[in-house]
Amino acid sequence: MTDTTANHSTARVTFHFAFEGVPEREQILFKSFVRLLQHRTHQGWLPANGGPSQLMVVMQDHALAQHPTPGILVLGKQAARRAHYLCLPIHATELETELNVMGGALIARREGASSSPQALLPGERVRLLRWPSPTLLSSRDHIRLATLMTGRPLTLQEVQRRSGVDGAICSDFMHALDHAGVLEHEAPTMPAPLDMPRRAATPTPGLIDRIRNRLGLGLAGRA
Amino acid sequence: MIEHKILFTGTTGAGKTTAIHCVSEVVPINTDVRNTDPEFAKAMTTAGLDYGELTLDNGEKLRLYGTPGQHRFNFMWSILSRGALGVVILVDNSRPQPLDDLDAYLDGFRQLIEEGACVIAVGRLDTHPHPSLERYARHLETRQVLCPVVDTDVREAAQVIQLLELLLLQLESKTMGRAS
Repeated sequence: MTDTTANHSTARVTFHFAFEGVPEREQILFKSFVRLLQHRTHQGWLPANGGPSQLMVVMQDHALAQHPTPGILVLGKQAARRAHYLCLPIHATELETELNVMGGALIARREGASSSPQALLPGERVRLLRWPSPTLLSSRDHIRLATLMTGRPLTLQEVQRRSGVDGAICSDFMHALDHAGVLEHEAPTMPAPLDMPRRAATPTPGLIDRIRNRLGLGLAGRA
Repeated sequence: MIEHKILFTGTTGAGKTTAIHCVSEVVPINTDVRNTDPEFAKAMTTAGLDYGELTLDNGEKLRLYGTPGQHRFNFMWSILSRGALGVVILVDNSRPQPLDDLDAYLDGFRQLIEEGACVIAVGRLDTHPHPSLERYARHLETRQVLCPVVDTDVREAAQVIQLLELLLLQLESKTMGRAS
C-alpha cells in the first residue's frame, strides 16, 4: 500500500496530515491555510480524514498517542525556537516553509529506503531533531554521539573530533540517524531567543575538562 | 573560590539522594527524617536539600544539589536553578504517570534546560518497562525539548557518572564555538 498519491495533473507527490490535541478552530485555520498554499508548496498536502498520514500536527505539550508518524509539526504559543514548530497564530509564509522542509524530508526518507545511504557531504552540518529511538542507540558511544548532536549543528568531522569515537562508527551512526529521519541538515536560521536574563551558568574555559578529569573520564568523556 | 553547580531533581523516591551519595567526595549531611507519607514506600525521606561535593584540580568546587522532590517545594527550583550548569531529572518509571511527573520538572526548570544542559534518567525500567524510552523520546519532541533520555540505575556509581558525562557533553555541544 502506498502512502502517497500522485496528482496526475501536476505529477507531484501528495502527503496527508492529521491532528492530535489541536483545537477544532486551529484545525480549520490550518486546513484553510494549506488549501491556500497548494499552489506554492512543493508537494501536495491533504487532510488524512482518518486515513494514514505522514505528518502529525500536535499542540505543544500534548502527550502524543502511540502511533508513529514520520513527521511531527508542533503548534504552540511561544516564539519559535527550533525547526518543525509554528507559533500561533499561524502565518502563511512560515507554514509554507515548514511544509516544504517536511515534504522534502519525507521524500528523501522514501528514496533513502530504497537505495543505499548517501555519504554526508563534507562540511555539511547536522543536528538531531529529536532524541533517537533506543533501537539506534546500541552502544555507549552512540549515546555519547547523539548527546553531542543535541546542541549546535556539527559536521561529521567535528563530531568525530569532539567525541574521540572512531570515524567509521561516527559515520555509520550519523547515516543511521539520517535514514531514520531524525537528523536536521543545515538547520535553518532560528529566530533570536527572547532577550531574557540568563539563569544558567556559562562554563568557564577548561571547566568541562576539569570536571571530566575529576570524574575519572578521559578525553571527551571516554574512560 | 569559584563554585559550580549541578542539580538533581525528580519525585520522592526517584533516587536523588542515592545518586549524589554515589559520586560525592564528602560524607553527605543526612537531612532524612521519618517518612509519614503513605504514598511512598520508604522509611525515610529528605526534608531539606541533598548535597554533594567534588573538588576540581584547581581547587574549584562542583556542588551537587538534590532539589526537594515534593511539589510543595517547587518554589526552590527557581532559586536553585540560578547559576547552575544543568539538571539531571530522575524519573521513577514505577509511578502511575511518569510522563506527567516529567512534565512538572520540564516546566519547573524550563529556562535552565534551554540555556544549560539536561539529562533525563529513567529508573526501574527493568521492572516497569512502560512508558518505554521511545515513548519518552516522542514525548520530549512534543515538548520541544532535545536532551538525552537514558535507562539508569542510580545505585551504580558508574551509571551516575555516565549521567554527568552526558550532561557535560550536552553542555559542550551547546557552548561549542562561543567565544571563550
